[in-house]
Amino acid sequence: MRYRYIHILAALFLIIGMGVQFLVSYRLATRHVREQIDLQMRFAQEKLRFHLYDAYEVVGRVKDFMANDMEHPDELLDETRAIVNHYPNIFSCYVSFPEYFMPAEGRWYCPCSCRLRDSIVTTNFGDAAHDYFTREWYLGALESEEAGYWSHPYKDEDYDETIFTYSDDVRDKDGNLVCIIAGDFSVSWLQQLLERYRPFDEAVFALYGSDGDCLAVSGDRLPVTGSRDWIVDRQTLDPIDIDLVMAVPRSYVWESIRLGILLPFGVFLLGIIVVGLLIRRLWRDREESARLELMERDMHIANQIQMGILRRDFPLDNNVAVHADLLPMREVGGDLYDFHREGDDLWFIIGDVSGKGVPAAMFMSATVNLFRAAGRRLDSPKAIMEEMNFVLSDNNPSLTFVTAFIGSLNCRTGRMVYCNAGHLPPLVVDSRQHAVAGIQMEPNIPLGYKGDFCFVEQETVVTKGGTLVLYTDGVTEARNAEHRMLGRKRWEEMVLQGGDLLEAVRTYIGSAEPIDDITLMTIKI
Amino acid sequence: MIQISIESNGQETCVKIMGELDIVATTNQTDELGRVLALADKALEMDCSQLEYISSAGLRFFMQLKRESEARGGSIRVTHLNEDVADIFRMSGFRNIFQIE
Repeated sequence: MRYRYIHILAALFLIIGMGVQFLVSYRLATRHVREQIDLQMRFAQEKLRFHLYDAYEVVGRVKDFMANDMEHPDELLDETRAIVNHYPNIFSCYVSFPEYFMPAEGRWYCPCSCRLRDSIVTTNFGDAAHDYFTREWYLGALESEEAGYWSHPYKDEDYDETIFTYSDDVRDKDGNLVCIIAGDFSVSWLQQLLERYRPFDEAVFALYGSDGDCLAVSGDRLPVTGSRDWIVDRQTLDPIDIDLVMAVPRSYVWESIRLGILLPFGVFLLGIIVVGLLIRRLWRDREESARLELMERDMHIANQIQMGILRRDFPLDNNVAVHADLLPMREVGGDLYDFHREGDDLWFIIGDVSGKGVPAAMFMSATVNLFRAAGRRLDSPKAIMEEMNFVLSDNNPSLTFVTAFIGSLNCRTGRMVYCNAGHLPPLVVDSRQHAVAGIQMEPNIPLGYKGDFCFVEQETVVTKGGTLVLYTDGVTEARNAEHRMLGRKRWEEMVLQGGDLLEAVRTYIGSAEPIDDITLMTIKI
Repeated sequence: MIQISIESNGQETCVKIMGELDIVATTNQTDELGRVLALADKALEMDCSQLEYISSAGLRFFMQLKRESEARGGSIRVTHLNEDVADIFRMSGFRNIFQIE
């Protein structure tokens, strides 16, 4: 269960790590955006100042013209036209004369040229409707003690343009006013100029007059100053009295760092999941191997118990020599053998439980114990067999059955009474090791199937010096590496040759995996 | 390993077992053998003409089939045993349990 906590811990670290990364990235990106806005606004200021120099040039040029080339003020009409034509940034240029300067023209005289879309309109601008004597640019230039005067932005009713004006007065050597030269710039021109200094497509700007009126907006969104949703910078454009507000929505910051946050987050998350799964797998493997280890230990103990049941105190005297071996395929198996002596009689059993492993082993130990218990009380193999069959058949839901051969051999006379329950017939080798033969017998049925079955008992004589070889089908069905079965014929040849039969079978199997328990019992009289 | 084919001719269901019915088959092919056990209520003909070999594990399967058949009112005929397999049936006493033809 502990790997779950590792998961949670890793997720916690991830969240904290990502949170920190997000905050740092967000701050850095915000600072970067602020710097960009600030930088672009400075550039815009520089550029604007550069263009506003046009105004000083225009004034200088008109002054020059008036001082050197002008023969009649009407020539200023052409001159202003030439100026507007020459300076694409200038919206209009005009020269305003004091009252009744040109009596024929009336109170106002003001040659003027103005850019109107693609054409330039040149006219005498002064009349009652355009009383320039009251205008800010006129009064400003008149009263300004400095070289020129920049007006606040104002609305030009004729051309429906918001403009701002640079004006300068011209005086004669006595200090009397000759005229006021003026050049206009339109706010829409300024807007176009600033458009080039938006640091990002998402950035918007607005221009505000000193009275707080919004003069122009880039795009259709108005940056909201004081809102947390915008990163805003405000600068006053010098020397004109217009505030430039540049803003970038904060969502832009998130969008610019989004990939840098989400990608590592995804990668880390994936990493955590993969590592988590690996840890889980390792943990399970560990638990599994611990479980297997425990099971193996139990099986080893079971093997010791099972092998402990099998007798190893083989009778060996002048009358009889018994030997038996049991090789379980797994730690525990279903083969069995047992024997005991009563005077000259040797009672023995060999058997094979159907099935493998622990279930068969449990049945095997029950069978051996039944044989021992019944052998004490009963005096014929048939009776023992029938009692064992009755007990083993009673409530046997797993349908496990046992083939068994029980014999009672008189070691002195060689007379053997036996009963077979579906087991392979034992082989008899004669005293000179010349011939081998299976004992003729009635197979009956295996133990455990039908509790009331009536077994047939038989009798034979084993000649003195002969050997009785009992075995389970694990011997005849042993397969070698080529998957070929040992078979009865080859087995009988092995028996006839004598020697260590178990070793002979092992040699036959070679490197192949044994598929069944192997049990061998030899009784020599 | 074994292969099993099942054919029904109305009155009797013929189960043909082919190959070697040993511990490997009974351990690894429980699904196939389970299909045969599911037919235990029918009149079965176990056609063993191509059953090459049977071990005690295979005999246990036959015994299970017999028990199921008895419990569910079916019947079993074992037919066409080859010599080796017939020998095993004889020696293991299964001749006393099955109707062998």
